[in-house]
Amino acid sequence: MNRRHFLKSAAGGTVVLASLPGLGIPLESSLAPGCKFFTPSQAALVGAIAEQIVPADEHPGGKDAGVVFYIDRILSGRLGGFYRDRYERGLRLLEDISHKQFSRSFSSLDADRQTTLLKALESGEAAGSEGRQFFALILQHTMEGYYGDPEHGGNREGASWKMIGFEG
Amino acid sequence: MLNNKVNVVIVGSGAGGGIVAKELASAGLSVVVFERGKMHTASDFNHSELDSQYSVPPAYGPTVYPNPRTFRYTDRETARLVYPGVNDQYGKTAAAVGGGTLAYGGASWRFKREDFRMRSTYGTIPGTSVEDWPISYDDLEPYYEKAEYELGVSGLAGADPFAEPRKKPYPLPPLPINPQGEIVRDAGRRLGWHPFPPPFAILTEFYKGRNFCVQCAWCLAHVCEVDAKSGTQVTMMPLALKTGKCELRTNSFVTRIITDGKGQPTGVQYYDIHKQGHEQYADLIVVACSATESARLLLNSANKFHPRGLGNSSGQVGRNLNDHTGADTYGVFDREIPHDKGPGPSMAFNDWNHSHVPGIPGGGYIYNYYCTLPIEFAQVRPPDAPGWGKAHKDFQRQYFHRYLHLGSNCQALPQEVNCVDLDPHVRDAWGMPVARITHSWGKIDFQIADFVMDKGEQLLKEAGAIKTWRGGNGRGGVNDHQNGTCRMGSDPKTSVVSRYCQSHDIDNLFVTDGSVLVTDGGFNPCLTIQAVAFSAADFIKREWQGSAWRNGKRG
Repeated sequence: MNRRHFLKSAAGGTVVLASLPGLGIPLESSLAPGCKFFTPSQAALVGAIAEQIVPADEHPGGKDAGVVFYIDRILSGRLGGFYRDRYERGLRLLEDISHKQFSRSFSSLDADRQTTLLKALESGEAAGSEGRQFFALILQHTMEGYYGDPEHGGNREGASWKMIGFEG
Repeated sequence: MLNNKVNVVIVGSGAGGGIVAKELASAGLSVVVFERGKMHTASDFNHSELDSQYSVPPAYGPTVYPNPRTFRYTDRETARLVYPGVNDQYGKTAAAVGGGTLAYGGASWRFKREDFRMRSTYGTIPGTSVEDWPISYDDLEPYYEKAEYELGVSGLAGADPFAEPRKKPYPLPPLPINPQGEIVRDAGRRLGWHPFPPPFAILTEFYKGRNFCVQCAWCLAHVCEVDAKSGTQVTMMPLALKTGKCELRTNSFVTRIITDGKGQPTGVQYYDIHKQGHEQYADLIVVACSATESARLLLNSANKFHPRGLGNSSGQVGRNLNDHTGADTYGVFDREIPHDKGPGPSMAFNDWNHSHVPGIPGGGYIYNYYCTLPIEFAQVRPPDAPGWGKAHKDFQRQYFHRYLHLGSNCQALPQEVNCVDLDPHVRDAWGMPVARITHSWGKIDFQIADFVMDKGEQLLKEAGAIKTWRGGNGRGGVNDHQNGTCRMGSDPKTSVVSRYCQSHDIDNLFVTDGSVLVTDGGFNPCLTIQAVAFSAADFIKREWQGSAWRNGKRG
């Protein structure tokens, strides 16, 4: 089975999560709409980060292009074990910093403040190597989700391909 | 399951193993080929960057679980766990029928004369273990020709003025020149360089029942959608199986070579897809599972007669692990440069390979690179350009169609300290110690790459690039071109196998993959590995007549 088929079949199943205790997967009742791993607040956070990595203009930004769903598929998929913990810790880390500096959730900050925080995360200034590594990871996944083949859950309706003139 | 004894067991179905399988089965020997991965076909092809050998997990194996290795730059560090696709230092060689050739780019170069005589050409080079090969270009020329014709290689004989002489033209004409190639060709000519269409194991006409290239953009790191790439899974292995003398056991992992009461190999121990252990007995054992895994298998097969590992009386098994540096350069333009005609590379230069510039032993060829796809392009930026945000998006829009990438594989010089050995702490799912890779490039390797990158940037500027920049190499880490862990040589004290890939220590043990390369040349190594494998297979066939190997009667 190639990855495409795997992802398709993974998307087809629904209630498998209950049978995976102890893997750090949240209960289904607490999942964000359309997600198999992210809670609503995690999804909002990932969407906000993706939106700064690829901001919207006349073409959609990371959030509207479906990057959250692309990353959610990775985390709930076969290799999720490599990344789940890093995402949970990384998102918590960013949220902590945001609360400490601005007394608000990252997703509710304005774009300038979000960008400033992400730059500090990227440089290691905000949270050392853990922050730096988490940013590198979510940057990579966001680029994949935004510019990759739509069948993997991101790049909704091939928006980025239309933008750059790639035939796909 | 009780397996009948066969003449030959081959571990690995890649560039080298596939050829030996086909040659020996065609000569009437009974052969079992073990492949740890599975068979992929053109139907596994997907027009997606996220479904390639560069994906996580790699589309064509190895699976991330349970195949760890460990990696360190020098032996002063503790090696850390690395996983396929997840960590660059693992390498990207596919684990599947066809091995690295399943999803390769197909570049099929003959080495130059000097590549076999690095020590004689450049003298001893401090900090390196540069040696001459026990064979010359002339020894290998007939086997290069054989490989080109049996596999199907396209190219233009005589077009590269620096190429060594050849007796016959390529069996197939070169790939069409695309717009990038035209730009690079014209700029190169203005500089007084010598452009020519590079050779590829990619069909340009119907050949031996296979289709020709349809010029799609998803080539490197993908299995070919029309089987135009001449990987061993569509060339050698089908022929081997057609003889009725060869059996291919996929999803079967060989853990060790087993020996008789005198320490002579009698077969292999392996695990099938159900994790059931079996033994397969054979007269001859041919190891061809990549420079990393071949060395690991020999080391994991140590016994009281061979305490340092099979075929390792020299202590050289696993040593001199080597891989090319890259010398990629990039340019953006204020005019459109179409790059949708695959595979991409259509012009190359050998002007900076053994150009005998002082301080530059070897060098590398330069060529316009494979088609760039959107995610890949998102990660290509000049050093001063942001890696995300609005400016990144603007760059993506502005330059995706105004961009040129030149590639190069630069000769790296082997070092004895770069090696594969057995990790003392980490074991795989079968309970065997995993490969511990120790690798970093030397100062000279970076100097060579810098030299070639200077030339690349010069070419891009001549072509009218408004901005150029260069890629880099990390500190170390071996990849698709890994080589050198079981070097061939004349002296059993300083090398592992003979010029025919036969173990100096054990007469029924052969190694026929990139492991045997003494130095890696400024070229993709595949065709050289394959020519050497044809030569080794010829030797085995000659020796097999009335052989002492047969039925355990050894001389």
